[in-house]
Amino acid sequence: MKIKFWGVRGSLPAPHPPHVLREKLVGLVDDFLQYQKRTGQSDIEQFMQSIEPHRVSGWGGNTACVEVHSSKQRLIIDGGSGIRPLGEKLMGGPCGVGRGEVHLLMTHFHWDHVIGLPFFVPIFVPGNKIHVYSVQDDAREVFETVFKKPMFPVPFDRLGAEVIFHKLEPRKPKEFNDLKVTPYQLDHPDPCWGFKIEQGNKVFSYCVDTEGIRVSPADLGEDLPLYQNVDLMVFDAQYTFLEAAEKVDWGHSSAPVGLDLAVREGIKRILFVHHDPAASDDKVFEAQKQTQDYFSARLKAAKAQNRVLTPVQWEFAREGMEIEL
Amino acid sequence: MSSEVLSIESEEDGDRLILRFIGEIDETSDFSVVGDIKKKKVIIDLARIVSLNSLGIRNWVFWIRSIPDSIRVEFTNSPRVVVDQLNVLQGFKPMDAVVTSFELPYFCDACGFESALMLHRGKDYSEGTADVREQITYKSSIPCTKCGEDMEIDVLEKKYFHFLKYRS
Repeated sequence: MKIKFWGVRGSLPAPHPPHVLREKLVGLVDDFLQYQKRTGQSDIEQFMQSIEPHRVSGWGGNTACVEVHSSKQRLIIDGGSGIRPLGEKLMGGPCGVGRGEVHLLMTHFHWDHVIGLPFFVPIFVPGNKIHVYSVQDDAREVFETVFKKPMFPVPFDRLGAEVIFHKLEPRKPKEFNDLKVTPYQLDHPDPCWGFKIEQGNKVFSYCVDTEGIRVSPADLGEDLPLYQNVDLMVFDAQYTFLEAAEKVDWGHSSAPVGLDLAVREGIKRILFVHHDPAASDDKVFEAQKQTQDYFSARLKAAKAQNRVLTPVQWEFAREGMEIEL
Repeated sequence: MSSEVLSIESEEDGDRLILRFIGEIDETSDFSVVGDIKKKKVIIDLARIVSLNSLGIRNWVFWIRSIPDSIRVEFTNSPRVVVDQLNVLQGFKPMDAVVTSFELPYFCDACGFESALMLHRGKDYSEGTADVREQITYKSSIPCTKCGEDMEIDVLEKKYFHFLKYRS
């Protein structure tokens, strides 16, 4: 199973404005000159590898969209602005000639998860079939609203592709060839469903958007399996710990919370996404550092008690990242 | 990994309520057992906290913020596990709460013995303010009570004392 992140930003697309790009460039040139002076090296690629990736290219500005595929099946999770470049890629295949079949899983319908749909080119190509899956009953109404004047010039009933809506049952698996998808409820102001996707013994859990209010096994109850026997979890870390504690019922969490869930449930790897659109690249990096300090303190405390914490590999995701399980 | 469920001992002493937290602060911790605080001051004794995680600290933050502003909150006998998270997770200690004492860990390279000295507010340190930097005096080494060699400080001071800095 391969997973590609086409959008990792939360709430609203957050492109770098020109002055930020300029500042980045000035900083990089300055650092390169110092690097050259310090090491006597002029290889730009080597220099790029010596600095934090976010300083070069940031974390990405597109909102929620993740591609999951096996050799037999491709699934897309959410239609945030990241689905636009994914759509361009798909146009290079059967979608470009009206023979494409797309399977789109929707967690929920907040703007940042649907904003890319009107710019998903395969949906305009006659002959394509776009299958939309959701636990919620109102997916069709949402699509009819998104593709409606005066918000968008092409109404839903004039789309070239055939859009077919499918209802998912809560906590009931659905097979897509060799991929098994089970929806579990997350903690969000409007109903939102995460997906556990299994292929053989490989398990991917998509836990976005969530505030992570229910965290104890007792509170999670029938949604606990979303966090169990997982190889890779994608978790909502829009805010720092303090911000998340202050923004009660905003529906988003912080990395330390995801990390502690992972430690308790034995999750092997976590990627944190849904970065705050108001956060600069450096601020997201600071949140990553805070998480590192937090986890180091947890490890130290465990060692002092002669305990071993489950090892967890984690990082903040960047747009374009690809993971193979 | 077994856990030590949090218990909270409560003692009234004149206008003070002393709360002793014992065990682990985690997602199972229930702070509502403290109930309404009717004293002018609440002393939170953390000496016997053995570990804490963000799932528990988040509930702690909600609880501690529910204490009326008119009540002075003091953290006392803070062990290293608490200080480490005070330095990382903002909100764990409300801005106007005061740390009246905390442990400074030492380690003996010669025999591997670990120990700690308790530092006291007013005597050993004062927090930074908008106008004055934080002040702290401590011994860089102490004699090992086990082998007599010098024990060195077992933390990075700059990081460990960070919580004493003024935060606007």
